[in-house]
Amino acid sequence: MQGILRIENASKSFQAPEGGVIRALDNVSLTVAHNEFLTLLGPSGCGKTTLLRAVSGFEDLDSGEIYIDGQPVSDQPAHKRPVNTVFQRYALFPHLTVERNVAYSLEVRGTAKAEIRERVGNMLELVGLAGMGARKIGQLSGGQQQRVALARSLVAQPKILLLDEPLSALDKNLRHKMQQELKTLQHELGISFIFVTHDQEEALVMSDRIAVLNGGTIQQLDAPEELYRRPGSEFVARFIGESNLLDATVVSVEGESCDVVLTDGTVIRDCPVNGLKRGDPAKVLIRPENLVEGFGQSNPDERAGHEISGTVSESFFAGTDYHLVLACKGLPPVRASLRAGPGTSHHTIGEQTSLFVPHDAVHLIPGKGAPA
Amino acid sequence: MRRKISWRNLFLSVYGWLFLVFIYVPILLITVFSFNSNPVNMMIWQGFTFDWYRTIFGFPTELNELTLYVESTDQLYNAVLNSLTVALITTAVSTVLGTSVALAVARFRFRLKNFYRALMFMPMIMPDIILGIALLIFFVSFGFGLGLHTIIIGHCTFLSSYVFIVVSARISDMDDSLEEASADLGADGWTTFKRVTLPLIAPGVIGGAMLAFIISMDDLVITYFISGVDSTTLPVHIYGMLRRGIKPEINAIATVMLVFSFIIASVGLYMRSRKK
Repeated sequence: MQGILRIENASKSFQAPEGGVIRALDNVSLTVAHNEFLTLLGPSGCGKTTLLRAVSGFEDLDSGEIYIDGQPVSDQPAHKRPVNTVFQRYALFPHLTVERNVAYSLEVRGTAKAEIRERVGNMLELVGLAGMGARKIGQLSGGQQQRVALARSLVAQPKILLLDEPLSALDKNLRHKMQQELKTLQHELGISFIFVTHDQEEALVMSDRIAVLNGGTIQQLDAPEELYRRPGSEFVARFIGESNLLDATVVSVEGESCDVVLTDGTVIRDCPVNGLKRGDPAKVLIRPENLVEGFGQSNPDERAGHEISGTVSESFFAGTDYHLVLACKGLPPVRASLRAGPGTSHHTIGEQTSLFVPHDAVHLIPGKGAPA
Repeated sequence: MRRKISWRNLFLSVYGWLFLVFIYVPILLITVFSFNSNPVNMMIWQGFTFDWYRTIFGFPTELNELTLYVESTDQLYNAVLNSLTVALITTAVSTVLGTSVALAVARFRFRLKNFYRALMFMPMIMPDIILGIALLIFFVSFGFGLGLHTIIIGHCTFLSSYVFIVVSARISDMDDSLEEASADLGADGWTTFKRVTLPLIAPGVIGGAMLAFIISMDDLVITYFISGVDSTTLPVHIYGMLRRGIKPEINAIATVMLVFSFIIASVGLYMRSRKK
């Protein structure tokens, strides 16, 4: 795929202050398509910011190459690369007005005054700051500063817009609003966005694809739904969303489905095989919201689900859901979120209860020793 | 009911007043005595006169040869001119040097960085008299003839440190992602310096420059060692006059210097307040 950005075997190590070497990027390869919203997601220190800074030109790679629109850019300094960055704390120039901040890249390139005026005006309108051009940066709210930073980066018409956790400083409501706006903006402009975040929810909401990074390598690169439903590794399953991961062994394989047995002896039938063979260890992923009550009564087909019974050890009400933790014999504690609708009720601690797992809600992750 | 006297408050207000008295009364006295017409004992008020000012500015006065101490205003003017020359050149050079080092230490990673930083603090810690002697030995042993140029070099060595410290403080307040943002938006290194770094550290640079100017104008100890015979600065000249007896013109010269410093400081403060 000839994308707008291609990263080939990028590696980068840092000297740790306390001695030793940190491998921030370990042979990372990645292609970003035209007009794609790609998120680099991972815990702090996973290498996501290093990767972004390597693209913008603020970090040199130890090895590997980066191609922007087919051109290798390793020899290009940051100011010559056709990408722009929205910084985490915006990095707006405090000595310039909103207008001059946005105009900066055009002024530096020697664009004609009339054109600057027009493009800056259009851009301020696009981000909803029309008429605020004469303000000082210090007079703006966090959300407004965010928009100025966005306008300042976009006015240069970059081939790729890089966003380094730009929403982390905003409060929750504003953050949700900006997530929508960013997504819409990206769609309208048709520019590829590379968005760095450690917030998995944010990543799921906004991205076309998400690259989950850990320890300097890409763990998985997929569409949000795929990543959530069929994580390729235990790390991804744990990092994205809530999860129950139960140890299991494959007991039989039949075409594309297989049966596994849990540590307490429960057999779960008809799981997607996911490349596993008979006798392979695996992790069974069950999302808490996929556990349901009373499944057996309303759907008598036994093959459609499995029962998990145990004692309620934690129980609380969280508005849309009841959260339960079930202590089951021979299994780690199982967490469940039950939709709080009519007919569901609060479970008391110590109560015996059964929950059902629809068989299509089960995902197998190859366990230790299994082929990856 | 009787109001209780708070000894603590009394002590603090006495302390506060004494503080002001010791700082400002000497300055006030010099100003007042510069208008005293008593030519013999300037501590005894005899009447108001502008004569001392007339003398230092070279206007004819009614004072006779006996009471007049200034041998020639030429020497005085020469000293003022020397001081201004030294201060202006020193300020320009040490501002550029100090700011450059401050930027280099703050922005780049290099070997022995902390050593360089410590080196920049050295001239501030070193006693002036040691620095003066050291410079004198250096100039003499390397065959520099003493003159204005040695004063300028000498002043630059320690004033660069002052500028370095003032500018460093300002840089540490500055977000370094601003420079990255500028590069990201297409500005090369020089453009970034001109459009972002310099405007943001300007108050520090101006502050450092003013400090350098005032210290250079004011320095006696170091200058005393490294000035040549014909290259006397104003403080060295005044010191020379004092050695031959306290003369009333000194008060007038001091007052003029005071007004001059006050103007520079006011301009500086005004410019700083405008920046914010």
